[in-house]
Amino acid sequence: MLVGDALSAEQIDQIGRTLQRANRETGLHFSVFLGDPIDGSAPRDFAVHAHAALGDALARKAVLILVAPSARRVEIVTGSEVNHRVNDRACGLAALSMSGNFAGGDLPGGIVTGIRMLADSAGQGSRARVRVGR
Amino acid sequence: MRVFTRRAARAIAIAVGLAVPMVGGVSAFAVEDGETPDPLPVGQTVLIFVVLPIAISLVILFLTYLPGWFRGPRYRPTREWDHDPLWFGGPKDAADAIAYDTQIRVQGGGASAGW
Repeated sequence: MLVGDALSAEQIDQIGRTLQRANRETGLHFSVFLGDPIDGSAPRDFAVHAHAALGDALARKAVLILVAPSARRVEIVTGSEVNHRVNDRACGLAALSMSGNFAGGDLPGGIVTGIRMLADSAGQGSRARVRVGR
Repeated sequence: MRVFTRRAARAIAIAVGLAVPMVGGVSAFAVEDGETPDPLPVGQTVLIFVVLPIAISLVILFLTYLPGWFRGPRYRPTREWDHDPLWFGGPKDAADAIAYDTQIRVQGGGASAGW
């Protein structure tokens, strides 16, 4: 992992713990990229690219959050196996909520909020799936 | 624990602020009826009306900036971003992983927002 001085050690720790908890609760893989696209592409393209770069198997059940401070964009990409649990509407809500925090200058707060919202909408995974019908 | 410390600090600050004007100064400047106080020496005048206000202003300024020094740099939406990228839950070598593109896309959906 690259090391940046954009966040304090405490904030990095907090985001790490939030991610771990989200992964454990949902059985999904949450990943956050904070920084401008390193290949200079548009934020959405880079987010899709970075999501794929997690590796084929991991990407399928991964949720990637890209926070691009220079472009002032937040992009959320969900894997093909996650899409039915975290739908685009939930992603949109999380993105909106995060951008509100970012506009106020609160990067770590927005990231933590976003992870929690996405994890909440993903629910507890197959264990808690309610069966409908007989 | 943090909240408690903050509340305690606030209570002490208020108590001290209320007590200081009551305790200090009252008898020292009291003047009897019919008595003309000696004119204040120039040095003392300057001290009270120039140096003291400046000193108090500086203390307030210092206290205002103090939390920012401890918190470290803070993100401002209008300022340029020149930090290294941070990738949580990503590959060990970000640049390597991005450079090697599998061209496989297993994306299901997503959303965007700007600020």
